[in-house]
Amino acid sequence: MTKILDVQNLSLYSGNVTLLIDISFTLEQGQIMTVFGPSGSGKSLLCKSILNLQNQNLHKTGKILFMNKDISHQNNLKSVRGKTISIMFQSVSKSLNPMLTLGQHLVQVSKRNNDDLLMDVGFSNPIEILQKYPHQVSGGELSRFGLALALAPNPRLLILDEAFTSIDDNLKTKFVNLIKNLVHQKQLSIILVTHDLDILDKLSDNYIVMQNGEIIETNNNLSTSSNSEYLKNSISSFKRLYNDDF
Amino acid sequence: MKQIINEIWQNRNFKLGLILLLLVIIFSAILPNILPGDPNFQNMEKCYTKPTSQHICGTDNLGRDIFLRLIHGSGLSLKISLTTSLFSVLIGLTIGFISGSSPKSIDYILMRMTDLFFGFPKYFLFILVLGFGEFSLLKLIIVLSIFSWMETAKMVRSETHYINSSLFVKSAICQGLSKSNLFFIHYLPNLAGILISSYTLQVSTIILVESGISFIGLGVQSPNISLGTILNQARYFPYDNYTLIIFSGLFILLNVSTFHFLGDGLKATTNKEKFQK
Amino acid sequence: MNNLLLNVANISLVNRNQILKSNQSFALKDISFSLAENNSISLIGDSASGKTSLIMALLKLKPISSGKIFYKGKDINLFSKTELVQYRRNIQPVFQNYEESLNPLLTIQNNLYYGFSNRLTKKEKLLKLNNLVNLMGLNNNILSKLPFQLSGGEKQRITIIRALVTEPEMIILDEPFSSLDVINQEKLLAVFQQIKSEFKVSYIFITHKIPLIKYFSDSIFSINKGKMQKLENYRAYENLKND
Repeated sequence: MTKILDVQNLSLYSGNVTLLIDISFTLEQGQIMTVFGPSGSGKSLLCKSILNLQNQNLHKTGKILFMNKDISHQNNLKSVRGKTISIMFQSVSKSLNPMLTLGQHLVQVSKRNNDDLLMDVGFSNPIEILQKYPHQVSGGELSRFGLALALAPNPRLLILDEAFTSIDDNLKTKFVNLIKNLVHQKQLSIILVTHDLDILDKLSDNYIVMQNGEIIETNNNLSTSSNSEYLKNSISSFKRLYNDDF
Repeated sequence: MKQIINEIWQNRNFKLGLILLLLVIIFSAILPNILPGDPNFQNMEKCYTKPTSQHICGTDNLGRDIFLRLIHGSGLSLKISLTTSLFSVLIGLTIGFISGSSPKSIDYILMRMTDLFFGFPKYFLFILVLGFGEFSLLKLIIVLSIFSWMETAKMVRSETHYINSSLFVKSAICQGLSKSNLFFIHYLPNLAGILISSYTLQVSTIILVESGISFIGLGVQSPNISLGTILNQARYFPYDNYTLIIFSGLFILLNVSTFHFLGDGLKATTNKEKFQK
Repeated sequence: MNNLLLNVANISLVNRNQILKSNQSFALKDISFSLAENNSISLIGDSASGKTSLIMALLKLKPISSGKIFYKGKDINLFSKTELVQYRRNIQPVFQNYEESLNPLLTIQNNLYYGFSNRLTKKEKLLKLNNLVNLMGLNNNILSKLPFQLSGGEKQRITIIRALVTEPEMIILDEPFSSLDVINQEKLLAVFQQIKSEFKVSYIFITHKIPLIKYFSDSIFSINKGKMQKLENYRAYENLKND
């Protein structure tokens, strides 16, 4: 198993305030790692920091190795962003240019024919959907397109930053299955940020729990139970709230 | 509030504008009131004198002290511009807001009317109104205001449309807030940024327009003095009156740039994205 | 049998720019449901379902093309200005997009204060406001802050307080749980239940996360592409899913 991503002592500072504290983890090829934690724990910041998309006023230290190449700083990122590492955010609409059609967006990341991919995410008529503008398309269709956009360049690593949060249960199941297949077929590696326990359960090979900017638990063996308060509380809330369904 | 003031304070343009504003206030507001002497006092024995200790900028063709004329003229130019811009922003706010909150038909009519004013040959009207009859400052201010509200109106209208679609306005309507409450509590604060920056930029434009009108003789008349009228005199004797041209030009430049920098700085910092971090 | 508050009868809403075309597309088609006192109903629908149009139609912020909406037996289209205000104050929305639900230039207090009834004195208004803030588990010093200083969760709770200010009979909840983690979902649900028992509020709960519907289930409907269907119980949604 090759190591796809190796994050070593990543820290992020804003003046005197530490936003990310000494983050270290590794991700193997073909693995799905979930980043779990309450809002404000630094999960999104971590995702952005991997691709150097954080606010440039912040000071970043530590090392990030992607396929053994050091991508900690700007220079090496160009060859990697949007090509071998893809990222998808919670709000797809905010990531799109309202003046371009979906097709024009797609062509920027992948020149080849993506009809198969579009059908995989659930578009029955790829040609028709590509001609539409972001505002002409429903929320669910946008989410599906966002996923297609992230997968089109055939990345080795896919970062999903709360990408499942605003989609309905129906679509969520489709996405989960799609991702499982992709990971299996193409040995795609995924970092998945979520606070949805259902997704954690169904997709993860391993997970880290974050709180207040640091990792409070790393678990590579899902059969052993958690030892972090936050995750334990979440699981019990989940059981009480959703009792007879899951 | 403190945050906003802090931001504005940081903006370079604004700081520059403030420094210049200090100069403007000294020259146009303070000095005219403390320095003795009548800017209209003629002394034929002392025409065309070069700058001396008694007359810092020298004297003009009628022996009047140029420096005194400049500061009084600058003061009047500013008074006119500040008042005109106030009227113009108020008109723009009214028309823009009505247009933005009205059904499509009225909106359309008001906007076409705005376009009409944009395209109107205003100097033609200036000649008509100001060229005949007695001169009055009020007439000048009104005529100038009538042709400067349009940009504000357009900006207010589009901002009003945007605010209309906001969820907090929809919620306020659902709480049954009266129309006037809606306007003063929700719309006005969100329009304030545009209005203030519009106002200051407008001032710098009006100074130029007023100087232009006075230059061609239609604006301020003697015994009142404006920078334009001083410039007007200067054209007859450019070589003898070189101080006249240079200094009146400099004063106009000072006044215009001050408000331009202030307005620019304000515009950049009252961008609403600031509040959505 | 509880008193009927809201009766929606066969309403349809044509998409704005197509009123004159012969091949119209509908945001809402033939929707009917009712809401009784102290009841809660759920509407299962995602972002393309027409739920936003439905909310706007109920609040009379968007005109319906056919059908009628009755509030306590009266057609809301025939309301006088005062009756309309009274109706709206009794059916308050809590929008899904709480980030943009507050006026960014006003303090939290000013965002909420003006919704109180004019019959109250300033003291009474401030007292009620502080009580509501405490009810939602927030600190009173939040009132002097500006929206951008609040976290997402705090902003969401403020929008819920705003809905309570007018002491409404009905509250429309548009996806209130979606962006919350499970622990906060449980806390929020408890607050909703407390509000219901203390203030006797009826909820219209709109969501696409099925498991929580059982807490708002006096009636359950699904809305899809503008059309509505009544369901026996929330499990019946499983059968509809593969549409």
